Amino acid sequence: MRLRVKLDRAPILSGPLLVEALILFVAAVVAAFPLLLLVSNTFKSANDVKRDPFGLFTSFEFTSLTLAWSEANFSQFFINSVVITGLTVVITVPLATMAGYAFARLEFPGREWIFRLFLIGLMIPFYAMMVPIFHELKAVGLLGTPLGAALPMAAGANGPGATAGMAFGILLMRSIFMNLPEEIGDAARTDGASEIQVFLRVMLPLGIPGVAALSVLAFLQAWNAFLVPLLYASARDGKPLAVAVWGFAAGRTPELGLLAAGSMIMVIPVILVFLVARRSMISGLSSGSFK
Amino acid sequence: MGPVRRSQRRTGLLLIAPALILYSTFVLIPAIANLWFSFTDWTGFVEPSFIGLDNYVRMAEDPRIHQALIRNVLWVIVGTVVPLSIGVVLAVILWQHPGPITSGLRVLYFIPFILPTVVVAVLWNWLYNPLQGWLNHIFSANVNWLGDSNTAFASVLVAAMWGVTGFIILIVGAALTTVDKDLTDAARVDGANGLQRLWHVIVPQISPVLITVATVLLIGGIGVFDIVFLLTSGGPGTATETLGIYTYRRSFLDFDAAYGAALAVFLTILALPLALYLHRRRLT
Repeated sequence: MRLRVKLDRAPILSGPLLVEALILFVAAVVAAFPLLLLVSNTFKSANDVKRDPFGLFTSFEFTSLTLAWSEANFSQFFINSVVITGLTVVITVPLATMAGYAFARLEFPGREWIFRLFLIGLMIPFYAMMVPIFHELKAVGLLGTPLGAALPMAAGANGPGATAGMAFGILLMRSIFMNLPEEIGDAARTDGASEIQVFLRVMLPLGIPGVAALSVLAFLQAWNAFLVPLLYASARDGKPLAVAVWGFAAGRTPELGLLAAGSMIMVIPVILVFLVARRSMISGLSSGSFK
Repeated sequence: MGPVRRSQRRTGLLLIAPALILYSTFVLIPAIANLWFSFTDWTGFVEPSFIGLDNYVRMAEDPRIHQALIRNVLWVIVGTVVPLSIGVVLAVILWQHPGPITSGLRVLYFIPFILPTVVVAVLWNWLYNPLQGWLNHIFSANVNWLGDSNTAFASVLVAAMWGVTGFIILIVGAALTTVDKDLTDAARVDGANGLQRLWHVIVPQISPVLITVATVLLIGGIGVFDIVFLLTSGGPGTATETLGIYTYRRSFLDFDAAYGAALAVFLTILALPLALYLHRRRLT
C-alpha cells in the first residue's frame, strides 16, 4: 500500500499518469498540427510553395502576406469584415442589454408574452428565414451592403448553431441583471432617480461583465459567419474575409501561399481577441448559455 | 397605479421596442413568410400561387431527402458521441493535473473551436489533399478523401469534430470546477481505476452539463451546413448532401424556393423537440 501511494505521487513512473500524458500529447499534436501547417504555408517562399507545398517551415518570408494584403485585395476584405462585424456588435449589444434589463427588472404589460416571442427565435433554424430575408433586403436596397449582413445577424438570424444574436443576448443579459440584488435599484429610486437613470447609472455599470461577454461572442460569431454574408454580402468589393477566403479556395488554381496568408489575416484578430478577452469569452459561453 | 409602476411601464416598453422591431423584421416575419411560401409553387421570381400541401407530399417521395436524413442522423450520432467522449476524457485529465502545462494545453485545445469554419475547411482540405497531403503521407495511403464518395462524408465529419471538441473541453472543464475532488480520491483508495472513477464518480456529478452540451451538438448536427458546403458542397454528386445543403441548393440554385421553404419547415420541426428541451434546461 505504501509503495502504491508513492508510485501515484511519482510523476513519470506511474502507469496511469504515463497514459494520461500520452493522451494529452496526442491531442495536442492533433490540435496543433493543422495550425502549424497554416503558419508554415503563410511564411513560405513562392518557390517552396511550388516545390513542396505542404512541407513544414522550409522557408520564412513575408511575401505571401504582403501580396495577399496589397495585390489580392485582402486589405479591402479585411475592412469589409471589420465593418460588418462592427455593425453587428454595435447593434446587438445595446439592444439586447436594454431588452434584457427590461425583462429582468421592469414591470410592463405583456412582459412574459413578449419574452416568449423572443425565445421562439432560438428554435427556428436560419434556413426557415433565409429566402424571405433575401427578398426583404433586396426590396429596401440593403442586399450586398455591410448592413445587409449585419442586420439579420444582429436580429439573431445567424445561421446554424447561433450562439449570439438578439434572443441569445437577451437571455444572457436578463440572467445577468436578475442576479444583481434588487435593493440597489430601489435605493436609487428612493433618492428620486428615474427608471432610465436607475438603468444607465446604477444597474448598467454592474452588468458590464455581461456586456463584455456578449460583445466578444457577437464579434466571434459575426467575424466567422459564412452563410449569412455569402447570401447577403457577397458583392465583389463588399464581401468579408470569410467569403473571400472561400472564393479563393474554390478557385480553379488556388495559389496556396496567398490562400494561407488570407486565412492568416482572418485568424489573427480572432486569436488576439481571444487572448485579450479570454475570460469574457469563456464566461459567456459557459455561464450564459449553460446554467 | 403608482408613479413607479407607470414609469416602469413606459421605460420597459421603450427599452424592448428597438430589439422587438429588429427581431420581428429579420426573424419572425421572414419565418412566417417562409411558412406561407411552403404552401405555394413559388420559384423565387414570379408571383406564388397557393398549392396546399403539394410540396410536403413531394417531400415524402423524394429519395434525396431520405438519403440526406440518414446522413444527418449519422452526423448527429457520431458527431455528438465522439467529441463528447474525447472532450470529457481530456477535460478530466486536465482537471486532475492543474499547472502551467495543462493550462497551456487548455488554450491550445480551445483554439480550433474559435477558428473560422472557412479556415478549418482550408486546413483540412490541405490535409486531405490526395497528391501531397499529410494524411496520405502519414498513412502511406493513396486515398482521395474528399473526392471519393466512400470516404467524403466521414472526412468532412472528422474535420467538423476537430473544430468542436475544444468547446466541449471548455464547458466540461468549467463544470468540473464544482466536482468534489475528495470523492475521486476516495474511489482511488478503494481501488477504482481511472475509467471506473470517470464513469461512476465524475460523470454523474457533471451529467446536467453533459446533457446540455449534447443537446447543443444534436441541434447543430441537424442544421449542419458550413463545413460540409466548404469542403465538398455536398458532393461528390450528392454523397455528402445533408438536409441543410439540400435546402440551400433547392432555395437558391434550383429555382425551387417553395420546395426549399418546405424543407426548411421540415428542418425546424425536426429540431424543435430538442430546442424546446434545451430551453427548459436553460431557463430553470
